[in-house]
Amino acid sequence: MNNEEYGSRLLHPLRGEPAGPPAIDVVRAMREGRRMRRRRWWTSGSALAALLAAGLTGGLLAANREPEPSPIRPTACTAAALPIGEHQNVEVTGADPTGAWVVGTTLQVGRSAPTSILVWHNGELVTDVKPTGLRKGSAGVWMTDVNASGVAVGGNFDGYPDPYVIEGGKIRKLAGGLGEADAINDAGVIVGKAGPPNKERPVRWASPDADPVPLPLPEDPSSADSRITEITPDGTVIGTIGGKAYLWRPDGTHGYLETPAVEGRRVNGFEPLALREGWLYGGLYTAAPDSKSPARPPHGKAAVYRYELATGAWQKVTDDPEQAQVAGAGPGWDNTMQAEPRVFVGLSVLDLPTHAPLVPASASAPAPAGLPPGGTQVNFLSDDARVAAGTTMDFRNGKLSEQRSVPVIWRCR
Amino acid sequence: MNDETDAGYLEYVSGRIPALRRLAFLLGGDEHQADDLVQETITKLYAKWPRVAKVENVDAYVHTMLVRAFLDEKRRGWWRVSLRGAPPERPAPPPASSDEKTVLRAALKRIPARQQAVLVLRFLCDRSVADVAQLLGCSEGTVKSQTSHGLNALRRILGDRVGGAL
Repeated sequence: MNNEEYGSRLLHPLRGEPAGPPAIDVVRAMREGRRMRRRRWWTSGSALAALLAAGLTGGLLAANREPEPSPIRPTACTAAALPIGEHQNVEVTGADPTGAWVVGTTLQVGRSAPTSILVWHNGELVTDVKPTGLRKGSAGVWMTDVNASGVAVGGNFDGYPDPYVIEGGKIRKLAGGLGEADAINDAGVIVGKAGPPNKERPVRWASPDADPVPLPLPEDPSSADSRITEITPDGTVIGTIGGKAYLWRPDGTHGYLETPAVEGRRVNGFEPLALREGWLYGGLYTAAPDSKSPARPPHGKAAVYRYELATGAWQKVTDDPEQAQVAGAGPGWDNTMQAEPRVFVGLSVLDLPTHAPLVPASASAPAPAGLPPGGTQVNFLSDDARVAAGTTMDFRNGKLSEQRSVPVIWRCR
Repeated sequence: MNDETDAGYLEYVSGRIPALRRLAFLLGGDEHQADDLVQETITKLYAKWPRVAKVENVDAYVHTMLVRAFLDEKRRGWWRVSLRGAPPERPAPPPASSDEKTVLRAALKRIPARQQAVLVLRFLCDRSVADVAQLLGCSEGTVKSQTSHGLNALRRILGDRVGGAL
């Protein structure tokens, strides 16, 4: 018997089809794929953070810690569309922690021209730029973050990405060649990744004029799969390696973030999503102890947890991520568009009013197959929860080319 | 992404999910893992669709993405974790027919991931040596040698059991 016959006969019993119904979500793939084009991945934990978490909290959930006196949370909000000049469809992509500065991008529905970048200050459109020097076929540049001085960073995220910065209304590339700028803090420190496609590694630009300096990585094969999520005011860099949260502290220590234990469940990992008031919000993924799924996010059942960087305390926000949106969560999180948007604020939920329908009922038609009629995504919530920003979309014109997207700002009291 | 490319993506994906799922299932032998692999593949595909849609053979490109996602999973070693996480008590033995499958699948999982992929693509997906070489981005000679190494490894693990009860 030659190899051909032997192989065919040996493996024959393994022929077959999957028996159950497919658990594949094309709409989610499109939503995450689209974000993937302009944002990236992340990691977790420093040695110090691990010590803090393990030492101070025993590696256990500190959810029972006495809550601090709760800051007074806003309860009522008003919605308004952000001005978009001559553009038709615009999406919010980031904001500074106070909510004074918001960045967005045009959606070139039905056109192949590169997108424009819009910057608002206190609700007024102050910058409308289109970068030059893009590669042929590039879809344009998105800003992913902006600081309290109005300095915005981002990248083109389309195959051969370049990191960009907008300062004083002017857009330019950051030093260091190929890469992406993912976050900036109020001190002007920028973090992201640099290097050719598939060989990028996390870097830090000390200022918009500095050269990138690589962040140290653990000696771990999964280091190749790293993402940067955030940088705190004190310079702590938050990201993921191999899908799990990783922290680089200002004192030079770095390491995986120790995750809390969850009784009766295997913890697959914590995926950091957004930073607010010193708390890192993210998805904690758990599975049954005998689960065969990969032990890393986003596999398993997701719950929303938050981690206080200064104390190492953990709190569970909710077991039900469908309950509300994690404002500012990146591509790894399934923030469903909601007809009536709600966001997590601390451990509670804030209802946001909807923006007026974009398509008049008289002109509406069924949404294209596979898409919801429309809804709102909340892309940002300020530290004091008094400003939120997001995008309201309406697909009820029947064709994707007729999609309407409006950037929305909420002011709450 | 514009209307035409979105429509093109939706049309492509909706027609291909059964085939992608079958490929993923044959590679890993696990339905949940298969769905995860397909979900990951079509997500990355959407991110790249404006460029992918222009390539000559989209199917081959997408199948390559899926096979690479499978190999990445193996490289990350999730199966080692799942073995460690297995409960100490043994489940009731499965029926005889699936027992044969279980033994074969367990043997397959013990050989290097690329050899697993080569054997599955050659003998379960009935792909030609040239096809497999293209999917894995290697030479036809490498596919042949990986086939041979993989089958020898299975022989060592299983003994000469072809045609007999496992």
